[in-house]
Amino acid sequence: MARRREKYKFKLSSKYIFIGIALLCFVLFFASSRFPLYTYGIRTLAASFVTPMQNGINKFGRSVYSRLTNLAEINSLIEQNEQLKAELDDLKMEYDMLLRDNNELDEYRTLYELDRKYIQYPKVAARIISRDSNSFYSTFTVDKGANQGIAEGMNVLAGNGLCGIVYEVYTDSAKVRSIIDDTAALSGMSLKSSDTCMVTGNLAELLEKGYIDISMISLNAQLEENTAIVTSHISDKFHQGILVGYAVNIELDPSEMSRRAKLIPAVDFEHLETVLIITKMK
Amino acid sequence: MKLIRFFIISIEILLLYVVQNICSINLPAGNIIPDMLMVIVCGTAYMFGSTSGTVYGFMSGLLIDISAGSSLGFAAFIFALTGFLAGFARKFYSRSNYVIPLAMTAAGEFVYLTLYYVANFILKGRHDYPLMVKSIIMPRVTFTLLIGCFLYKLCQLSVDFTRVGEK
Repeated sequence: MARRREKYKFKLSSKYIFIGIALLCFVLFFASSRFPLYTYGIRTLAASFVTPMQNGINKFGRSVYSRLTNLAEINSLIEQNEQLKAELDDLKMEYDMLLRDNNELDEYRTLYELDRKYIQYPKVAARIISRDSNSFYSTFTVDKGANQGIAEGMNVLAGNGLCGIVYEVYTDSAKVRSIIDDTAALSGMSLKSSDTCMVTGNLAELLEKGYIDISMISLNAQLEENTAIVTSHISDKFHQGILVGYAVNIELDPSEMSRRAKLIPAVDFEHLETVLIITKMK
Repeated sequence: MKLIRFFIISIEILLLYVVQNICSINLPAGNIIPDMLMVIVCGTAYMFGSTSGTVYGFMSGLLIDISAGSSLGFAAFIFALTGFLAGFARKFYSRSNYVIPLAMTAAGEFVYLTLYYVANFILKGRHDYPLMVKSIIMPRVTFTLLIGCFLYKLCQLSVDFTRVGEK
């Protein structure tokens, strides 16, 4: 009896385990590419599990780092403090002068009825908590999600430049695709002449030279080197008039039907820490 | 003992995954983050054979897919395959041998990044493979190997006590 049990002892060979797992992978692969909505649940679950851990470690790392830099910088800070105090007196005087000038300007403006309005969007600040774990990073996760009122398709700014767009939202985190991503494309226009063009991401060139691509510039467009490119009125996702970057290296497209150029992004993608999300949809 | 080992390595994988995901924000090391999960997968496969390699490879690949890729299963398959193939080297296991697991880590990482490039870039009309190798793949493989020397030792130490009684 004992011998028989030994004989029929169930033992999986590693070959079969591998084949099983490979099949599972293929099923998952097809399921996620054909029916992305079903795999969305898995991702949400994983995100809600990992996000608190990421937040915790981030907080810990930042506090240690700031302690260390605090100690190192005390001496230089004392020195700086003296300098700044001196500077502050100067600036106070200047400020008073400018305030007077400003009042004057306001008066003139009301006289000319030139009450200029800057477009202001409601914004929420968010902290980046993770990036793609493979180094082709161009999407990242921020620590605000559906609970904080973030929705898919919201524009993301960093500084005063366009950084990307929210493309997946979880309960307490959201994923942002930056404009340097190879799949990202948006319609831009020249700030001076309102000529439209397409801005497409190009990660390899960005890493190497700091450029992404601009294409489909009309032959008649009055585009000069270093023109500011902003988001255009054509796009249905991006608000109009957000700074994207500056056009350089304008040249004729090989097709000779249009011109193309390179764009230096206004956002410094190497040192992103916090971003602003516009909570108003276009 | 095997169950305890499984828990230890799973927790290691999860922790390293979180660290790997966030360290790119706090360490501006030229945008390159080492792939610590690949080290763990090849290390465990080398220590415990193909079955462990496949299972841990699948787990870590799935984690990477969940965070980064657009479709689940891509990295999971490649990591599981790497673990499975690396497991055959168990015959030559020796405690002090670092060359075999690290060589397998480098090979696995290179293949993973190349396939990722093929799947995500070539089909979109970007074919500058030499530039990709120069600017992303080689730095990452090198960095992974550097970190891997220490990580492999740590991984070995953390599961040492579960090997008592095995040959």
